[in-house]
Amino acid sequence: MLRDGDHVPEFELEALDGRRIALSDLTGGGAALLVFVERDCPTSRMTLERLESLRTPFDAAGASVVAIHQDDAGVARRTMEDCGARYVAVCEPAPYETAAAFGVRTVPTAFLVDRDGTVTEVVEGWSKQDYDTIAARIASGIEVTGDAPLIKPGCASKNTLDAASLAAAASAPAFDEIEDMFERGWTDGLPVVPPTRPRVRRMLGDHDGNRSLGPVPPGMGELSLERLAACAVLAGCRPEYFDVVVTGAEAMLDPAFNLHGMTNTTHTTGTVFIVNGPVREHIGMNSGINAMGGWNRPNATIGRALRLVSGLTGQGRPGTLDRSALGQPGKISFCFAENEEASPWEPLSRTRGFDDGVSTVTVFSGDAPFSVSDHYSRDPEQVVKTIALAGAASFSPSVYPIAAQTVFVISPEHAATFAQAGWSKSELAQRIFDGSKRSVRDLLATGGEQGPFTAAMKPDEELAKWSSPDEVVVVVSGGPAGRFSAVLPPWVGFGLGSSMVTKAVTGSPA
Amino acid sequence: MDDLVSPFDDRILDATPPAGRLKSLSGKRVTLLSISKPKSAEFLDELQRLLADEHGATVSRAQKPTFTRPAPTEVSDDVIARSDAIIEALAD
Repeated sequence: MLRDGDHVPEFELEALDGRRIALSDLTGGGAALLVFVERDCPTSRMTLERLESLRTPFDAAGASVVAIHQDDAGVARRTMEDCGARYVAVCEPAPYETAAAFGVRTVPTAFLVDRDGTVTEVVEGWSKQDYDTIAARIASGIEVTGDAPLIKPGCASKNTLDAASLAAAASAPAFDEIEDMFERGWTDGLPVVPPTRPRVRRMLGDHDGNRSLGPVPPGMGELSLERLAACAVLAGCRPEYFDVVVTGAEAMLDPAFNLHGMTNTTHTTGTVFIVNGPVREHIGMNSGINAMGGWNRPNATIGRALRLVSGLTGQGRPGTLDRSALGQPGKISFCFAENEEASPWEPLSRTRGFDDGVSTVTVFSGDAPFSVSDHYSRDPEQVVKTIALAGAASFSPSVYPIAAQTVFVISPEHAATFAQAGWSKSELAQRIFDGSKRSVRDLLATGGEQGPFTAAMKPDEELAKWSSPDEVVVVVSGGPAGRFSAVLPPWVGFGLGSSMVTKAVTGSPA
Repeated sequence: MDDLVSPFDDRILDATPPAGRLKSLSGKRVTLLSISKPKSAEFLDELQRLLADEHGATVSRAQKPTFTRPAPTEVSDDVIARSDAIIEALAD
């Protein structure tokens, strides 16, 4: 193997962008740290990630870090992305003549080459001390940063393998990281993104991964921010969504929400997240067409990340501690944004006590949407009656009252009808409340499940579905065309079930 | 694949194992803990009769305030203190 003082043989390899790069291109401006790596080698991947901390100071000193991958360009590109490494990368195909010319025996092996093409330092495997020595040669005071062991051995370099071994390695079934996630039980039935340490670190950003949000019921696994970031990676979130994910988790773990009970129940209720404020636009959430239907990355993945927290960290996986008889699609993900721009009223965040301009996440224990069409009514009194009758069927048509917060998602078209009549949001809630009233006689005549209240009342007495209009929670969302609104039916009421919780998004003024 | 961050808290996965199984219910103190679901009483009355008459158990009753939240510690501590076996009785 080449050692200090040896002259490096000339070579030319293809970079990830397709350019041909020669040794003289790399050392023309100054020293070059050439690192031979291979994706299936864990030490190689760790080294690639750690050396990113040298890229900027090396660049400032006229030097460069160069990864020489013993993989094809597609694999090399994915490796660099996974490791967060943004320095130059080239690929060397079989029979790995350049590695052989350097005498490489293991990967990773690094050669610090000066502008004359002379080797000045060599590191086999990983050695923090040796890499810090290299860093200090380029610019005093710099060192490799980040968590890493002091030493870690590497793997056999591909140029040391005979033809039969190479062929066997090439024909062996590649490690399938997607199937690995299924085998570990880290999914909700759909493929997930493996939560590698570099991905989790990028998701955390400046957050302290060791900070705990507390135990997640019902299994009581501790939710560190690192574990939350892992769930966010699994779900497919981008790092810019993480503040919303953190806020959603804080809301979900608030004792008032009662995640424990609403997970264990045989009911179909799930976690519904409603987002308000500037963060919606900042991260690209959807509050328009198909607002509650997924197919938008932040909507779909934020809701999914929080379900994974409940199902994995909290062990509330359906079929184990989640005992819902039927379940519903919202148990994969249910997160949407209020269409504040189309709403004639104050946003949910204001109604919940937060100032304008504050981004919030509200969590609600709710069922799948029960949509209702009203395309023929022109009188707002008729439209609200339609919506009220739909709400009256929540939980069970004959259980009166349910006395639980119930969310009504009003479409922009319906909202415009009410606004044109001069109705405020609270007036709409009052009219929904009033429109739900039924006589005891009528309730008893419907048969089916009867609550305990009707037995003690006179036949002509009327009951509303809720104990107060305050339990009717109105939000506006959805596309500009389509006279549909929806009820999100609640879980049990009378203070026994769950209370809606709203929290301000981190970094957003409260 | 190495270097993954698990979404699980592995300490919880190794938590308390199940209690040992009784060889017989005869003479044993069995508590029926109602979770306050509708019609629980009828179901538990019949269960109590079967356990006492057909298995010789000494049966007592307990109740937690609501089925929507875990039992308060004072309820679970009391039940544990006076029982050889506990049946947390659900009804749906």
